[in-house]
Amino acid sequence: MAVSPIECTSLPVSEPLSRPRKVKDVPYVELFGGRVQGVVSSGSDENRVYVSFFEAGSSINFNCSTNNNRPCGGLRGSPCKHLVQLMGEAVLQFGAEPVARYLKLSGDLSKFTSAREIMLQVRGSQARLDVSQVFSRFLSHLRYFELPVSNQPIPEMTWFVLG
Amino acid sequence: MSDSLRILSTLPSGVLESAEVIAQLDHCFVVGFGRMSEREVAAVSALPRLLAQTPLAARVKDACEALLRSEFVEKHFVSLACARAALQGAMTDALAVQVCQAVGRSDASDEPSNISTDAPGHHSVFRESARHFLMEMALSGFAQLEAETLYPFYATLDKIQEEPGLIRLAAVLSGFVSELLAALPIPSGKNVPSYRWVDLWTRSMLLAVKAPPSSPIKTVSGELLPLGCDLHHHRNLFSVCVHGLLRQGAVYSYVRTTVSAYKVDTVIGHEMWRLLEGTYDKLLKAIRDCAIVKLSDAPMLQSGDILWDESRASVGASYSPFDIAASVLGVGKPLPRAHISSFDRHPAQLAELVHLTSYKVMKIDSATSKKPSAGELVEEKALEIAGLKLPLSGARLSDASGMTIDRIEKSQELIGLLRFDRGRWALQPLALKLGSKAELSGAPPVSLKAKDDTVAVLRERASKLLRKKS
Repeated sequence: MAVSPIECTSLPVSEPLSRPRKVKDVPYVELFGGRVQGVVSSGSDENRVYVSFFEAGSSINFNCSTNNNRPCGGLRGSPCKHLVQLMGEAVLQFGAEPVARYLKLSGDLSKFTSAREIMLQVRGSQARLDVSQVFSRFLSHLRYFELPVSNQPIPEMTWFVLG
Repeated sequence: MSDSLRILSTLPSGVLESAEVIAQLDHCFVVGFGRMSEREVAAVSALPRLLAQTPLAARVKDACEALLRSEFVEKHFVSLACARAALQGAMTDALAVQVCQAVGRSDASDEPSNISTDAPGHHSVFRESARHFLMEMALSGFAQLEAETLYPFYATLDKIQEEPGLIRLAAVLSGFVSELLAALPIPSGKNVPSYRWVDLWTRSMLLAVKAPPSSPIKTVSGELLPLGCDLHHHRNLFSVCVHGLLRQGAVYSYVRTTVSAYKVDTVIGHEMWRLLEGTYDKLLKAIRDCAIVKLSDAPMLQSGDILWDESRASVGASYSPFDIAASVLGVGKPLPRAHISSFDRHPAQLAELVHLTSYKVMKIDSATSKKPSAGELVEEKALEIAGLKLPLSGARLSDASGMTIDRIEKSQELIGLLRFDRGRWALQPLALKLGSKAELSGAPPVSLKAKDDTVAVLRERASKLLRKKS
């Protein structure tokens, strides 16, 4: 549907709203480097976090370990509860179809409407990859809370009303 | 009142033609300047003629000729940004004259000459890196962009964000890059929001040349009467722009104040206000309570932007904007206000305060989303004021603004901003009169639920983990 040039808009086109999610359980999740990856709080020790990911590919491999690369005990050939939580929060944050697309799932992606449906497609095995990069991306993410506030006019923000 | 507003339904001459030229140029950004075919070559060739009578003539001519010879040098992309901004600036000037006539006000006061400031040396390194990044983006074209080429720029962007003096560049680049990343890869054949993205590219490039001219700061005392807020946000920044009147004695002038805080993508909706709590509590209270703020020697720029300083403010009693709206904002009433700075001239920055009564809300469009947002539902409607159809600007309303179509429909009077987008004037509501109460757009909620405090949880993690790191 061609739009005449004068009808072009400077403003963002509405996108599906990100839903609020439980950052206490999953402080961080992202789609990056071909993985759905993030940081999941330990259920038992409030000072411990797990770094977990799902890898896009034909069978979707996964892993979960502490930041010191100690594997999660719950991983016994299939995703642990941390991985299940990670997927749940990824779907809340990005939407089921975008997550399915990122994992390169096959078939009609619009039929994926929940984390559970995506988890059924996870048929890979444990992929031992260094997770320190994920953890440092989490730290980069957190640094936004350390940046100073501003009382300056920012005319450029006129362009942004979403996100 | 509506008679003079009626002139808003016709575009000033030249605006349509400029839009056509810009659209053709924008297409080059989608395809990539490194891969131009006949259509793009024609668009670039047509540009110099439009700026031939301007001080930019020689630069733009050189740039276009060089690009057509595939000489891809950063300064030519800067020239493109200047050319596009100049065209939009001219459109803005014509539209500004038109809207002044429509509301029966004299032109906003001209901006006096600005002072240029010296920026620290490391700023110019960051700016150069940003210009290079933007050039590479233009060469590759939006349709071919890959996330892997954007990620490395965060090494520079992270540093830009740490510089308060570069907040404008940080704000636009952070929003632009995160928006691109969320959209990539572009499925082949899919339409790209090219006008918007080239707007963002252009604003970024201009800010990456050097610091924008700055205005000397003066101090003002008087009363600030808030009228409503623009809530602006993207994945990494929350920015509240409070629109208001500054009352000094018997004189009212239109002013703004903006407070902003960085955020992450999980901080959304009302949670965003937590980022400002503890730092800007008086301002938040003033908007929440629709209260008059007494200002003593508050710093203000010539643009009419107050640099909010909590120590210069004290919050007083609530007031109703509608007690004074007709006498201050009525058609034909003078309203001192600053002109948009020449650096910032763009139709999106036009904002003319009006007070409207005796309107009916009618439907003019239909939202296309399956689950339309509150803003989309507003965008479907227009105000009918004695024969004139004035569309409502829903696209400017954050979901967190609390301004919904049913509130607008129930209102008896409103105060709003006349805005320009999509080739037409539209009304963005700021304050509504419902019964005896005034509802301000973008006011913080009365209280935030204590549980699900995303900001507190992540701040706690940040203080534990980032301290440990250093």
